Amino acid sequence: MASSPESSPAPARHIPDELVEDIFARIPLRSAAALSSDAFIDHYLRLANRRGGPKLCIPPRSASADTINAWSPEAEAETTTPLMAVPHGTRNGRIIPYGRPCRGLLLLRAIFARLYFVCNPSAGEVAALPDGRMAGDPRPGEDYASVGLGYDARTRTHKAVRLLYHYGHPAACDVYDIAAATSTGHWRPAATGAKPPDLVHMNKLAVYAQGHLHWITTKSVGDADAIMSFSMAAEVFGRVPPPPVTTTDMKGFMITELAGCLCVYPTYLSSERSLDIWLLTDYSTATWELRCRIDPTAATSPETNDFFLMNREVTPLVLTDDHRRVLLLSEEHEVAEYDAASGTLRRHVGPQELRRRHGDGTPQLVPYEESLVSAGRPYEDILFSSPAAWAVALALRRLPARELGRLKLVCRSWRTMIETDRFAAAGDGDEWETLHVIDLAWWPAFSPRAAELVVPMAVDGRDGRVLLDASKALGYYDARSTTLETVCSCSVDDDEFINAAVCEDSLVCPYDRGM
Amino acid sequence: MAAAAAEATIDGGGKMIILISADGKRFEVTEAVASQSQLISNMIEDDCTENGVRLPNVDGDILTMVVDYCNMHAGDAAADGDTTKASSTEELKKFDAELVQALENPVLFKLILAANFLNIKSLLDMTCQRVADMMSGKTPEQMRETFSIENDFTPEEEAAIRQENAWAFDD
Repeated sequence: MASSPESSPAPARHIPDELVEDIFARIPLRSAAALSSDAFIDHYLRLANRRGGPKLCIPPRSASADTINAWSPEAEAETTTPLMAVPHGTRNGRIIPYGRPCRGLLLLRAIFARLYFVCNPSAGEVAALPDGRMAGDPRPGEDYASVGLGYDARTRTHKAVRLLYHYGHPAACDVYDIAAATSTGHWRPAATGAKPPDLVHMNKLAVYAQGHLHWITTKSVGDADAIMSFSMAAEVFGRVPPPPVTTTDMKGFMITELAGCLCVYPTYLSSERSLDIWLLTDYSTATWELRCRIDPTAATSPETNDFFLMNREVTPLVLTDDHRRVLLLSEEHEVAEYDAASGTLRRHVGPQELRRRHGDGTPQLVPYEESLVSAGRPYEDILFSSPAAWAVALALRRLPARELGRLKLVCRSWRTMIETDRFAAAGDGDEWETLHVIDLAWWPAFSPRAAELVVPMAVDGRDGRVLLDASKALGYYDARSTTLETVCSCSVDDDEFINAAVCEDSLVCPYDRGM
Repeated sequence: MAAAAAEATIDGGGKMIILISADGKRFEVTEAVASQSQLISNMIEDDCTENGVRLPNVDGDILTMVVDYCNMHAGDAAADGDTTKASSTEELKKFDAELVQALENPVLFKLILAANFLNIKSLLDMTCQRVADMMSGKTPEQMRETFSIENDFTPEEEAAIRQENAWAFDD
């Protein structure tokens, strides 16, 4: 209490400080947000998430869904609680969580838009990060960025870290300060200027635990894979010795975070390979502890047996019941709770959203933490907040595109500024004109009631007809006769949809610019 | 300035308005002069200029320039068929050029922001154009020098950005 000047000192005279904080941690998050000292945010994170068993976050399952839901396996209910809407304008792609939440914040990735967002699902806050891509023409698999989210306990701030790879080699390591007073709105080089010492495959997620981000590195065949670490405070790279699992190679193993510790578990289970869950209990001495061993062949009940027979990829999600039980996620997205002492497994009937459906990806379940921490201001707001930057931006808008292309090379903040949507939108605001107004309500398959999104795909060069894609139907709109001719359509009831693309014959080879 | 204001009143410029800068300096101008600012023009329409217009993000020295500019250009919009216009156009151009030419960058930026905040289109155009002129045709190195910016790219990044925007660097 003493550390949160916003709250009234009166009750503290009669009730011990810890109790008052306990009480505050029980009040709903949105009312608690008003009283937020750093210490209180930490306390809330610890207490509010301890009650009512573990909660999980269910991200949207397809590009057309837009809500992140929460679900509590313990409640045995099939109902979910909507938490927040994911950002629109992510250009037709799904948004997926990119790793586990880190102290209340979750990193989201819009795959096709190549955008990353930081969100606090419990507060409904979301802010975009500046671009998460490598500069230059990307060669698939050779030029990419791998982004992770961590927490610097020294400055009490979250930081996003991206490893940049160029020509298949480590190129740089950048840091983006989230919600810090020092946040500049653009990526900066890591404080030490360090480059990642090893290669990390672009699909390997970063894991935050014990003040460090961790990745499993990808070495060539024959070389051992290792655990690479990045200290959030000192911003230096290091290595974490793997658990004494028989070999020192991390091939065939995954990392995650359990009970605040770095955790190693096998990628696949087999009759020879049990689900050994190792926790790094002491970071400074690199002491690993085998927290739980689940032997699929020694299952004590037919139900347990079935579960491990059907699922070869099992991910530990959360330790529950004072670390006596572990919540597991199967490859079929079934959630089950394993009791190590009795060797029994309790399977949870999940909500509708979890079941696999034809045509959709499966949602990536992550733990859900309620937190008061801020997701930060949108980077565009930060970029343009300094008067000088705003004045420069006003002047830059008057320059032709070619000139702007050159000026991206001046410094990071200019490049980021020129590449923002806000800058692009402000530049030619007056020059747009309305060419067609199509009243879609006239055609049932294209009306807002039936179609969530109608995309103009192309304009026919000969007669000016507009090709419209409503995902369940495809049609040509003729502006002269104001008619719409449906080219093809599919049934409204099943899961099929049309994925239209405009083809263009060309002699240009992709990825050959500047080479 | 007082003389200009008095003249405007005689011309039928109407009521006087007090503009108050961030540091508390007061400027008395006619409505006609002040309404070159779209922001103040809207305030005049809404009748809320009675107790003076506080401009919390414009400093006194910047507001002095803005008021001078507005006084000089007060005739612009209104005067039609004015016989003295031809000569005054020349004079105005000279005045404008002198106003921005000598300014240090930080002052110029402040003037841009004031013009943007007050929404004085002609002044915003002129000041931004001045900066845009300073930018155009320059190499990134020259730009950093002109605007005292530190290069925070690594050589690899610089090469990658140059490659990505190769079309802009072709000569």
